[in-house]
Amino acid sequence: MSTNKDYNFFGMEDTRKQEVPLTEVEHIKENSRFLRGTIDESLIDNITGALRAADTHLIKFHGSYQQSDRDVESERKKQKLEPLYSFMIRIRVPGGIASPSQFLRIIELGDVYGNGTVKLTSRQAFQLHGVFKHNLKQTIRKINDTLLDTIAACGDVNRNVMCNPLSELSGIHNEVYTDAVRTSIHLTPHTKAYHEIWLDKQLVANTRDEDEEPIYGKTYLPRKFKMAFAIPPDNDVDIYANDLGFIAIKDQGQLAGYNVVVGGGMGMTFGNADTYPRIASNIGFIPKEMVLRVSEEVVKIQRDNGNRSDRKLARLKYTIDRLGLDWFINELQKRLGFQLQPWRPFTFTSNSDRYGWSRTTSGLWHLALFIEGGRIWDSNALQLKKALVEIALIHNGDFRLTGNQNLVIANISSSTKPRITAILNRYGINQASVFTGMRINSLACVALNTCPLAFAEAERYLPSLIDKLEEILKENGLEKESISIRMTGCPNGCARPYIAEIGLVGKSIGHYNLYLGGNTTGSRINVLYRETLNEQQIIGALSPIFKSFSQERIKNEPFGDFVIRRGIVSEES
Amino acid sequence: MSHVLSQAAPVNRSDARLPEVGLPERNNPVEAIVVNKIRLNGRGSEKYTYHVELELPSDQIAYEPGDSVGIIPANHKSLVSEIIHLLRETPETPVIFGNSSGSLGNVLTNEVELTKLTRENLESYRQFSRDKALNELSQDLNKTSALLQGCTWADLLRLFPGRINAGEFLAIARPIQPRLYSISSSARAYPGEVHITVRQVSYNLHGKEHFGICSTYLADLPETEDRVRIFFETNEVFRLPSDDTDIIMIGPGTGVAPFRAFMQEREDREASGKNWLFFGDWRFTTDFLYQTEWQDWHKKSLLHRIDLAFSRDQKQKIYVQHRLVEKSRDLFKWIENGAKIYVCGDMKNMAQDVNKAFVDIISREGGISVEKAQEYLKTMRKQKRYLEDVY
Repeated sequence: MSTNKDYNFFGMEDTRKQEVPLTEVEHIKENSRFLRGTIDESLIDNITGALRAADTHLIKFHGSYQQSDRDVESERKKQKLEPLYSFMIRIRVPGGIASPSQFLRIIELGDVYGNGTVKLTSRQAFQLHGVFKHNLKQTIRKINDTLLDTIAACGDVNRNVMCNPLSELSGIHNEVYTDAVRTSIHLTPHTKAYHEIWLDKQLVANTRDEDEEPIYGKTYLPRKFKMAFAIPPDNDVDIYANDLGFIAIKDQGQLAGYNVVVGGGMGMTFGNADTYPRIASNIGFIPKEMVLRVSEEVVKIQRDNGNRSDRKLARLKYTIDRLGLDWFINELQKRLGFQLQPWRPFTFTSNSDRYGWSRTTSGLWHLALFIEGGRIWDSNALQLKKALVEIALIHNGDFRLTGNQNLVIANISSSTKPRITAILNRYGINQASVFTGMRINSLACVALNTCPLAFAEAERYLPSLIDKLEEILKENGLEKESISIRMTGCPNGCARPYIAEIGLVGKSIGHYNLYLGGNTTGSRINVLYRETLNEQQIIGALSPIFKSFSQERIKNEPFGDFVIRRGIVSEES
Repeated sequence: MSHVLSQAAPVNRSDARLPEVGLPERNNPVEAIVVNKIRLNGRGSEKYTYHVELELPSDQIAYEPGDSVGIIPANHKSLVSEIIHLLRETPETPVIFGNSSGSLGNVLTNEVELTKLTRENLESYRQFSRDKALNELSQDLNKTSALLQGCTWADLLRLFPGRINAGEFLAIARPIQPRLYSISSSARAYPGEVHITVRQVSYNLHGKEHFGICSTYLADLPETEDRVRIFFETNEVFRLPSDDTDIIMIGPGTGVAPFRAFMQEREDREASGKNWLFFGDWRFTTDFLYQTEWQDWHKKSLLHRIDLAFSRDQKQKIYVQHRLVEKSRDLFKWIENGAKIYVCGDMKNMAQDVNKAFVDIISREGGISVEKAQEYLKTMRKQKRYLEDVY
């Protein structure tokens, strides 16, 4: 069994030692004094809006990415101005539950320090965008004042832990949600760097000796690590896209434990056949008491065995495929000191959100709203932000972020319900039911103009593409059909496009690879159907398929199943 | 950053490397071609600062860092038409103005000073206006100064209407005045070119939007291939010191222009003296003029220190003088070590605030009284170690 002292970057045993050099990021982590680096110096260097190169990697562990406005990149170069650097700040919300006052404060921070918008992410986090370096510290400090934080929201660590936001009816939501929060806390880095840098906590005299990371060690994980809890029949957290997932299993109405799934992940790299999206593998059942130990040991296996020489091959899914699933299960059992039980049957029915009003067992109300692109903002057409702020001011329940970038106004009292309805009506905020089934099953990552990885548009473009696809859906009577469509600006897969019924992955400005054949429970990888299509070609490719779907589908057959049954794409083994 | 021309100083070239070529003076301006014009302020800025690159007719024209270039501008179309309208004339009316003749429209555009009025202009115009208020006003020196501030001929004709025709108007108006700009390039680094840094001036007066004549003229120029009449004015005082002397440059806003020339020159000469810049403006993200160039010099260790003050990035306004005081200990070390101080930009406020900041610094760090510190600074001025190019 590995301990903190004897592990090394390459794996526990000498036989597995790789002779390939470590990535640059590994050296940066190693020399960072537990994620400090020179961030504090970078922050006060006011000749540039950027951080020093090494600090741009470390800042991720603190919950922020350095980005730049790519819309103005070339004009600023001519203007003798550096790129318009700003920071995305990701706010962790374990299990996705925030209070109205937290919600209001986040919106306000977006107005004061960000670009006036708040993004609800596909992993139940809030994101602020466009925060300039000179405002970064006070923004993060004020986020912490709300009792939310940003530590480990990004970076090579366990990130925001997801949990179905609306499973009250299952009777076990509270227990599972509590497990999600406990796991999140258990796997939060211990370094005091975050408090020193952002919260001005006193510097520990000799930080090198004082700090320790009992779970991570000083080089943390080889790559990001994503974790989720799902309560069947809902899979709105897309459990199979996570490095580690816990599927709640009930026994006689009580939470008995979890089926454990490992090795899911979406990212791939164009032109690199060694990279691929992968559905998490079901490895067995554990009693609920073991959830912290299992999560810790899975993290440690990845810590000790993940690839630290190539970040593109560093996720847990590649570790498992390289060493074998059997090896992984054995290793986990060895470290745990007990055997996993056989996995227990369960059924997922959907990875979509349950839109609209629903009544809780305690007589309160939930309202799940469709938030296009997850973006809370005021446009000329729709003052969504204003409306939600008004609601938050009178709401005495809570807010829940869903894994599909949507928002639930939860635990509304019967007396508040008509007032909230009135606000929504006054601002013309529609219930999801007025939209097409495709639109309310759409997901898009941020992409241009701020994501440095994006090759193409996503969030800014998908709504208008759906406008055009809707015309064809209507011609075929499919407008109410739930067809999931997910778009990303690059192959890294933040909006989980590879398990959508229709996946669009950006290749270059205006061009996308089209994937078909995901299912409605998020448990099947879709298949590349056509490459490098422009808008016209996307519409041209989908139109005949929609037509034959409307004519030839078996009753209630989902779109993703239809394209496979008809051989439009063939399911990969 | 324009100021109306004063008498040109005699030319005295000190640079041995470049052949001695007389600089085109005010009396014989040359035509330069606009080869590049860029707005330096990023999208969303309220400021419009332009970097204009002019190609000179010869690359032997060897101005020096610290020199100014004079631009002979043309008046804005809208101002010219308003005046023609107020004179109840038409643009085609043939007129004579001094030695030149042509249509009223052309003459007003290119020959007549319309935006900077003198007391004499006002006095001459008084006889044509029967306006009582103007009569009373002209008795009061303070009131006339206030009136003349930013006032154009169009304002005067509109506010105090009088019976005046084109011929009479041209008899009392004065010739168009060139505007001077501190050059922002080094002739060594860019032979055959001269760069200027100009902020478009606009202000509201008497309920109307007013535009600075020359800054607007330059701002409105097409980005390339237009011709501008220019000449040079040397500045024998605002000169770089010997290569091994340290310099402290304080140039907020367009006051930074000559320091860009200084840095180009010192880079080209491989000068060993250290360089320290204090720059300020409204906002870091959009108004950091020549940001990438300062960054490059900083990276190459040519610009040893740079301190910035962006007044609108936080609640309380921070200006260059605040940054100076923050760095007082190091500044005093540099001064004691023989550094020369250069201040360029706004005369009314900035130059005085900076002067005061240095008195504070010298008094505090030198452990001497404020009076003694003032004397210390006075001596520096006498020794030409504290130099200003303010306007």
